[in-house]
Amino acid sequence: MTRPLLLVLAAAALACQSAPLADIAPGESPALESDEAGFWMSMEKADHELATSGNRIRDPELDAYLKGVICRVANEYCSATRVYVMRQPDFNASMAPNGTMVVWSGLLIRVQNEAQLAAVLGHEIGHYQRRHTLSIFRRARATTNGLMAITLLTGGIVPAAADAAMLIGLGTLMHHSREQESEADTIGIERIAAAGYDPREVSEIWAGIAREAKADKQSSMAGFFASHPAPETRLREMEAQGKRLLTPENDRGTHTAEFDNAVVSLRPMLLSDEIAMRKHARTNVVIDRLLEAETISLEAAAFYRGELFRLRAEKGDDLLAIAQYRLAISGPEAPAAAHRNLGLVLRRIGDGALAREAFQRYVELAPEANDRAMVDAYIQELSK
Amino acid sequence: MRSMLILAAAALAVATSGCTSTKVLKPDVPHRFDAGHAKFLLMPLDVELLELAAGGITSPRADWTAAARGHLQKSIVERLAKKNGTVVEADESLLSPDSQHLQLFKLHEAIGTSIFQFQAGGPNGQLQVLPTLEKGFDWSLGSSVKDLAQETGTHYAMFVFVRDSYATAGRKAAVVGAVLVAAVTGVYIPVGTGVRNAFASLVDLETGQVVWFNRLYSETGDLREEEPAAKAAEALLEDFPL
Repeated sequence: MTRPLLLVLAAAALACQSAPLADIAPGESPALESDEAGFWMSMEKADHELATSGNRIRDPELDAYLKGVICRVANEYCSATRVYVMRQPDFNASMAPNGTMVVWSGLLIRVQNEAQLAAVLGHEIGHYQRRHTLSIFRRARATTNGLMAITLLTGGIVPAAADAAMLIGLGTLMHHSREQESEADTIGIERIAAAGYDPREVSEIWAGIAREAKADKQSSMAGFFASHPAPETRLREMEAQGKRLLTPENDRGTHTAEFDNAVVSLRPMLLSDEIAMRKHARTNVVIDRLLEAETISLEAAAFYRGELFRLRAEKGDDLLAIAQYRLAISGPEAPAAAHRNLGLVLRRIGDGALAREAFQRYVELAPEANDRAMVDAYIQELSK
Repeated sequence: MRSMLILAAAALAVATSGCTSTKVLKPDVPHRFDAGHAKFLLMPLDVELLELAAGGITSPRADWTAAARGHLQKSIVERLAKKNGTVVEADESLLSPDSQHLQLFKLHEAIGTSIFQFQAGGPNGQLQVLPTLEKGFDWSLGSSVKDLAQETGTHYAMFVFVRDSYATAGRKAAVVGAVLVAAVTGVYIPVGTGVRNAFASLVDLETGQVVWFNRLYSETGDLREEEPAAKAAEALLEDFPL
């Protein structure tokens, strides 16, 4: 058999489609002997692990807020879903076949208002509604079964044929995954538009993600096997659909204040987690966007940028950090930590007098701080 | 053609037979049991049965798992009772998110899988034992286990973990196919069938010490049926100290 013929055979064996799945009905649970029930069983266990995980952000108010937004967009699926916020500083959310939704905390500093948040949650509802996990699993099983047949048929003597089939198979799966993502995007934007959220907000999410990806040279969001469409593609898609779905009822329905109210107390922790990732360029974009959306003040942004420079500590960063901290403490609501961290950088560059001053200001503002003894020791050291 | 048939039959025989092995681990100074007075708390069994498709992908099966769990629970209770002990079956509520004993269960999950993985040979018993664990057997959940003893009125907690997979017809055909291919071309493409990896672990609720541990690896027996499940429970409790 010639190699091209084998390739054609491989492609044919892998291209066979499984029957499309019907939407899950509200309140529906699968028959016990089905593969779907198996996933539900595993996910019940995973659900328990998420609920009791040390990495979960246990904030009943935030959970209630998220659940409220989910119900606004999920309607008939409201009671079938649960949401857990996990302390994970990246942009992501996921949905299990049994309605367990996971939101990564990094999402909450990347969406700018409730409309954008609702779009992501609505996207996840789309995965649930269309039974995407089950669909991709069945396809993966059919594909690997086909690969086994090809491997046995070629007798292991034409490894190239098996390898080629593997590539085609994986490519097909990834293509299917991207199709699912696009489908979920559409369901998400249609659901939020119907729920009174401005659909033009959705493309903003992808504009932000595209900016981050561009800034972060190490990020690789494109590629043959990428399971998600490129952010630029989603940006264009969502821009077009946003215009199409705009109505007088949802026009300018961003619900920014509600969103801000729900996450404002968490934001310092979320940004500090993001900064700890040591992805300077990407985090700068996150800060820029928070500033552009007027979510945080110029002074607050300066504090976070000061942190970025202080932690990167490359040539010249100390002076940049000092400038940012100075701007931060010129504002009315500067965190005490801005003074302490200014002191740390000043101490590092050998400016003892100014460092001592900054540390003293810190202990004045935060006399009960749990690092008080450490800072006092610095003050003593610098007073000699 | 005839030789092909013989080969196919041989392949099928290979595919459907298999071995069972156990490995018991206990502390160097064996724990002394108060025979006749021991009360065992049987923790909720951690069981999952999976289906192994032709291409090697596994997926959990809820119906098989429920059946196996029921059979194993019954057999283990019966066998523990025979060994001169009283058995208390822990309620699932012991593991609810707000139960104070949940963390203990999670701790044992970490300890049990560590013993399984690093001292007892891991899945299929083929992993190397960590050099630091070649000698001795010293694992403990700490003395906070006393609360569980007090609350349930028991002396020992028994933890059971079972993962088992069963090949689909397609997978069995692939096994036969691989043997045939090997016979014709001399190239063997390894295709495995379902295997069972399990362990049972007994914790002294006075000290928190793991006083007995058994790893079970098996390629035979169907836990979805009562009789083989009882045999598996027997193997799992092999060399049980009481």
